[in-house]
Amino acid sequence: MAQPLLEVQNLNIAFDTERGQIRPVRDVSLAIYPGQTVAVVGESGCGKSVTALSVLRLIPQPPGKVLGGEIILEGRDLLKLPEHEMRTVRGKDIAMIFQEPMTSLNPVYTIGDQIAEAVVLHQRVGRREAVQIAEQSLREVGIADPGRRLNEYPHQMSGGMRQRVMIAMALSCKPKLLIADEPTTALDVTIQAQILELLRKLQREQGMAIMLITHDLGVVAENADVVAVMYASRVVEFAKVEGLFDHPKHPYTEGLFRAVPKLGAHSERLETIPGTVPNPAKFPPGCKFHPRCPRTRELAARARAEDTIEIASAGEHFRVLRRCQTDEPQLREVAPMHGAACHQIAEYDRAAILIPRLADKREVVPVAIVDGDVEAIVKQELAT
Amino acid sequence: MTSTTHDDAQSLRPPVQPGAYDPATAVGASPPRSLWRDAWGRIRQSRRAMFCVVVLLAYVLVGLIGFTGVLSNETVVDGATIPGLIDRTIGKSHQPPSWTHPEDGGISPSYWLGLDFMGRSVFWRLVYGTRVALTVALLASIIEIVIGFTLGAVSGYFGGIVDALITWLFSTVASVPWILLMISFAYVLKNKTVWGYELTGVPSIVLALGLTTWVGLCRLIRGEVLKHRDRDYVLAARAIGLGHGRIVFRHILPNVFHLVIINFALGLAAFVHAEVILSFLGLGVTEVPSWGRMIDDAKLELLKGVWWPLLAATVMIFVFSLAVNLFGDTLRDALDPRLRGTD
Repeated sequence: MAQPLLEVQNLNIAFDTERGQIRPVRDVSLAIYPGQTVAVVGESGCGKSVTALSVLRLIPQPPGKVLGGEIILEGRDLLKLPEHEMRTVRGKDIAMIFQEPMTSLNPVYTIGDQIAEAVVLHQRVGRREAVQIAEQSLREVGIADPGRRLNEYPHQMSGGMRQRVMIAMALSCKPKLLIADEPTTALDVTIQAQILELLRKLQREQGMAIMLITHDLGVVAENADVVAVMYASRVVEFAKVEGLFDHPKHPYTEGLFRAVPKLGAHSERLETIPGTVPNPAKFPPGCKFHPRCPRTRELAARARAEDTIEIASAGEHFRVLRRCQTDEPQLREVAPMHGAACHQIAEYDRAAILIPRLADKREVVPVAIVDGDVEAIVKQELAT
Repeated sequence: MTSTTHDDAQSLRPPVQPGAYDPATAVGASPPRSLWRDAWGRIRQSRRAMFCVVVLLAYVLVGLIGFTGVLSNETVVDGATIPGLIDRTIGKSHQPPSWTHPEDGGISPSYWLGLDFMGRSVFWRLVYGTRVALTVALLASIIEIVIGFTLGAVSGYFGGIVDALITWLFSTVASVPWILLMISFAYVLKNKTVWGYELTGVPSIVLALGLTTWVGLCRLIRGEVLKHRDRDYVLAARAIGLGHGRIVFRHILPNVFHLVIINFALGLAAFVHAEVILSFLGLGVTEVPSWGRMIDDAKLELLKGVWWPLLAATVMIFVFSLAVNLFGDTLRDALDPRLRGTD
């Protein structure tokens, strides 16, 4: 099996705040292989963005600090690199695009200047050549008339175009890994589809790996090869995209899928996961999901009283299994190449701890929807 | 039927005239302008500001005359050293202004503004004073901007202990009344030598002003950099591998530089005033004429009815301050449109 491009092992991040230390990332492990897309999914505040930023060592320190773990890029531990070497990794080996294309570009420079700056920094080229590379990368991301656009300022562009510029900037140095932190959240739906299609196309052409941070399961379904589901600072499920969507194992993942509205289905209200995301300053003991977990509640109702414990959550009193409340589950391989962290999966006790390395590429590659086909496809969907 | 109406509509449409608005070519037709070109365009639209620019350019020209040899303290003519125009006694003391030379009757600028108590030409002393005032204001501004911007940017960008130290430093400097601080600086620097260079007159006053006035700019820049530090574009710049120095000076600086320019323009008048005050108090320029010294020299003469030296210097300061402030206002509006209509 090939070596992973990037391997995060037992990463622990802490922030010192006035109200004590909070730990938004605990024991996070994941591996990304060349050419692969790994999606990191979770609610706001689950630690997915902090994980992404810490790969580039962009966590502000202080207040942030790395308590432990390794981030290995092609055999080098990024956490041990001196700052000046880290600067050559940023942009050249690993590039990043952000959620907010409206504010990620410097308003006082033309976009040509900004792309060329990254090129001059990482490639041994002169200014004129850098501008040519910038123009070429603008063309690659599908911006019309790139020669003229080079001399324009960010405020002259729409959100979708700015995100294309950000992608052009990130890709101008041909990085091995692209970290995309919710790249489509701030864009409207049609532009989202274009941007994601663009990322897939560039991935096919350049063979780079993508770490896709998102909370949109639709985006995951279309783009990811492997998915890591995060909940309250931990990876709770790690699997191939087909495995995860066909057989979600963790009750949190199940809840996420139930919460997605279904096309054509009628219901009075949307499904939700009861309760709220726990405050990172005071996570519950044991499994961090147990106060919201329907599975443990159901099982507790049928279990012997001494195996259960009464807790209060969201103004409600109910019983959960004692083990869920006291013992933190680990990510174990509950099915072949499928890891989940939940005591109440039948195979959990017999399963081994999962080393989250899945080199798989997805089998079903989504086709781009060409204009005009959309209506036909929706009709067909509704008919079935 | 429908096709005929369609054709009718086609034929009714007037032919596109050359130069008329055509959406096909109009997209993005106005070329992008940089902030500075944009600001200059706005300043040019204001007649008041353009008038001020002309006045200020005139001051600069007059100041440049002050650098010519004829005015300087000593001029070499035929191998012999004679005092320059500014210190030479050319007539009776307290001679009132006149267009012409009192003896030969020809037009002579030396007599236009009269003579002072030592019979020296007020006109040429005023011209030389312009040179001194502008030099002091420019050099002191440069010192102020270098110290104020650097400390403010470092403090705002890095935060933490660095910020605490710099904040402590400028709070301390700011807590001393500025005139007192400036006087003590001027007093300490007076007649000192640094690297064999004597700190008298202009250099001492430049240092005194530059070293005491950076607090306001520093505070302003610190706050502004603090705001920009957490913007996404700074994070994005770090993500492509830029170092701190480049981020501060290449990315944040242009975003706050309009404040430096505005501060510089509005500060010029304050520096000229400060130079006048220090010279008036006898702590500033002593060897060469300056507007402050002229006022100091003329204040007692006024009682004898000798009004021209005092009036000349005062009007010079007044017009300069007015032009600088009016121009600065327009400049601020042009560079920072959000501030338009506020004070």
